[in-house]
Amino acid sequence: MNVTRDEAQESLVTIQQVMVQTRRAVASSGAYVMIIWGVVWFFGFLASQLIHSILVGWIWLILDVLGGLGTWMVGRKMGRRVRTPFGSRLGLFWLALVFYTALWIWIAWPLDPMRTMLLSITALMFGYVVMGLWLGTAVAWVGLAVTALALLGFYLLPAYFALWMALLGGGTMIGSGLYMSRFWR
Amino acid sequence: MPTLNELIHQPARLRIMAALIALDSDSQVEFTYLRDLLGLTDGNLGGHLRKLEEAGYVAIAKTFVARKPRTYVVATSAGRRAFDEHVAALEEILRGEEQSVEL
Repeated sequence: MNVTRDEAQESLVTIQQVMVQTRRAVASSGAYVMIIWGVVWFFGFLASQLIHSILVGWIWLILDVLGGLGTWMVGRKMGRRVRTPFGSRLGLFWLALVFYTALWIWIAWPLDPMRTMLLSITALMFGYVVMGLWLGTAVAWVGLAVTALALLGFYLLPAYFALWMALLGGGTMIGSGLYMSRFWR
Repeated sequence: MPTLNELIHQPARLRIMAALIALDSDSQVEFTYLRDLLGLTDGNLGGHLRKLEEAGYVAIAKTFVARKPRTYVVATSAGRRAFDEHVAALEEILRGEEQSVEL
């Protein structure tokens, strides 16, 4: 049986489609993490905007712990589907980034609450950009978009910065995560 | 000159190999996840994997995760080489030279 040019092209297209589909399916677990942290940001920043007391710190702490637990559960589930040393390196990268972000805030202290938020947001979005280099450019674009939104809100709407980040920062992450989980499966 | 690989050229096996090659060389995919990803049945995927394993193109590992039996599949380096050569042969056909393979 001869393999014609059309058949060869069809096979190459199939190969390309399956490879993209596989990479996206594996990366789609990151979409659930994005949704989880979008929800954390939404409620956390909303609390920062509306509540002006020490209670905000506790709300953030509880939300961060819940977000961490959710991320761990998603990572565990995905780790059963695709076993790769990359998964544990990914987790260690985020731990290192969170540690260094806290370190940079400590070094730069005293900082006003808004600058502390902006520093944390941009550092974590740097993590998304780096993830995008490994998992797919869409993740990097989310990181860049949220960074741009954070800078815009910080300089143009300082009085509503936390609300801005709740709606647009958290919203972008939830929306992107939903899109990726819907179309990358 | 790269040659077409009869075993890999079969449509389902081509898709299985493409999915495995898309991941890092040290990444193992769980059987049911691969089945759902490619839309194959248990028997169909199992049969094709057996042929690919006999050729040394994939390695299959059975293990227990949380006390449940799980099967993981990974493309071997021989499988990656064979797949790359098959793709190169297909690209060569596209460039103009027709090849034949007995199927």
